[in-house]
Amino acid sequence: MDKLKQENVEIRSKMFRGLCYFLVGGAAMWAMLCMALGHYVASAVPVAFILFTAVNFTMMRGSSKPHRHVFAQMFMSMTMPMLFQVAMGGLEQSGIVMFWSFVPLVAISGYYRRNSSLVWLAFLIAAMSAMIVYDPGWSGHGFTLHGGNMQRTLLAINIGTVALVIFSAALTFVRVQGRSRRKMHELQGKLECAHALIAERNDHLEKSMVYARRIQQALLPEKTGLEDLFSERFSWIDQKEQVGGDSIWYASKNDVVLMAVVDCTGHGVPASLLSVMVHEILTSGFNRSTVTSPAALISFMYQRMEARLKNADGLWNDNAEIAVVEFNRATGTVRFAGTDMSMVVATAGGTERIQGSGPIFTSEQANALASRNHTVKLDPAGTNIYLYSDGVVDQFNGGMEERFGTARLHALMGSISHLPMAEQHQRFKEKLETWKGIGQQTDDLTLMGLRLSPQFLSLAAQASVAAA
Amino acid sequence: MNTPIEIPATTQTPLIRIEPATGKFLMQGVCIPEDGPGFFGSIITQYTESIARLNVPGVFRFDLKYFNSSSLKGLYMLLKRIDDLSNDGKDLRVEWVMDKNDEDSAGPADMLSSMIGIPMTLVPEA
Repeated sequence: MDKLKQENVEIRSKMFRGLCYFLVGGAAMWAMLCMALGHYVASAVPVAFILFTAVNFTMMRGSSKPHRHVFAQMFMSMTMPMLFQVAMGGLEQSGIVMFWSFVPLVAISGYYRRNSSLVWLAFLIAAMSAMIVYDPGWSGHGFTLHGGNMQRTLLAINIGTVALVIFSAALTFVRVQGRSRRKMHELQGKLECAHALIAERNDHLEKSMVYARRIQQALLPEKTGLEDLFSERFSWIDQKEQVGGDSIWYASKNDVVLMAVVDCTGHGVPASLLSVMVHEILTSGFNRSTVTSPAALISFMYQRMEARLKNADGLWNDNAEIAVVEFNRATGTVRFAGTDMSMVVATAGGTERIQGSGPIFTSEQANALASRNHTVKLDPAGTNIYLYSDGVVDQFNGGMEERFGTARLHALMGSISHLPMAEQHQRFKEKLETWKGIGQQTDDLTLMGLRLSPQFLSLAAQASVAAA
Repeated sequence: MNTPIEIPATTQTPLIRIEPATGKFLMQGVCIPEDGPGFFGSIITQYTESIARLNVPGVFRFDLKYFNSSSLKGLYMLLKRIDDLSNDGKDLRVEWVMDKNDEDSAGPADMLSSMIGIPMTLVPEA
């Protein structure tokens, strides 16, 4: 409400200044007119008013009691036109110049409280009536209230009524405007309050999400001791929000190394919670002697998730798409298993897509998956392996008309697979960024590229020769 | 009882239109609900109730521009329900609108169809 008060003060002061400028302009006009008509004595009144206003304004600036100066200015603005009328020789001679006394009424209605304003109005009407009744220059008969000359009475009544109407109109306008401004300010205050609350909550949420993001990134496994398997590699995880459901899982034991791209359903916080759980299940599955293949691990994961989430909405709601690759240093073999995810193997001969078994909706499907491992054929001359989540191919272009699509992604993989992995990473990012344009990210996305080391490839070649 | 149901599309959920008099069921637009299980739970209930009251053959049209993996599972449950009711003797047919410029768009339909064992007619986009 302080703002409203301040605004009120500003409006009043503007009205007051406007009034003064207007009257000073009028006075200057009259002074010139008087001089042109030869009324030199009378012209002293408007000149005196201009001088008074100038002095009063100067004194008001820096005064501790400005309302006194306002009062003086209002009083002078109201009485000077009447005085001027007398100096000009009366009503007729001056063309009822005291009409100018109405002007301060408008400013008074805004400046003073209702009761004070009414005193001003009464004063104006009384003074004007007196001016009419005792007008020195009235032609014809002297003043009689009854009988011969009613004109003076009628004029006094007319002017009094007009003054009342002007004053009431000005007062109503000022009050209505004041009320609507007060309402607007109340509303604005409420809006600002709500906005501040939302901003605070949003800020809190954002900070908490940034913290959660740090934790989620810290949970991603440190992939060390893989130099003998991969000569180069890159992994790119870009969540739609601060946290998300996409992740890369990794585990190694003796000669076996497993890497997985996991895409938990949904995105944001719910998906990130699932993602933490999935990692834990995968690690515990990997350490079991009964889980001996990528497909068996996925099957184990689904069984565990179903058991863990049995109080939630069931298997079909909260689960994950997953692609797992197994590298065996002893046998030189690479095995793949996946659900609704694919793996791409790029060699000099081109790219080959190895599709997973499809999404899992039921326990039966999860159990049946356990034996669906694909052994990957490797090219000893050079082999790259790519894993990706659906966020890559589902990314819409800026106009939301078209998805990036599997064909485009695989063609891109084929065309840049010879480049160093770091450069490929850059190219994928640039391509997707250009494709997205001004659009939003469609989903969490993950893309991982692995270049098998010559050492591992020669081991694989020897193993396949021995097997043959 | 036979009043049509129309749930307008939002930025995250598709348009749902059920016309019991003609037996037409339409799901059209983008399907990336924040609460997938909640959204599909309510859709499955509405579809089931409407199918129970059908006096004419039902045609289920899926015209989805994009749906996320959580919705794929919702669609699986919905189609499974349609298949179950179809096996109970209702005359129900499924149409899947595919985007002719998007080679991935028929994939989910084929997959769902073979998983559930429900026939689906692929309809090219109008």
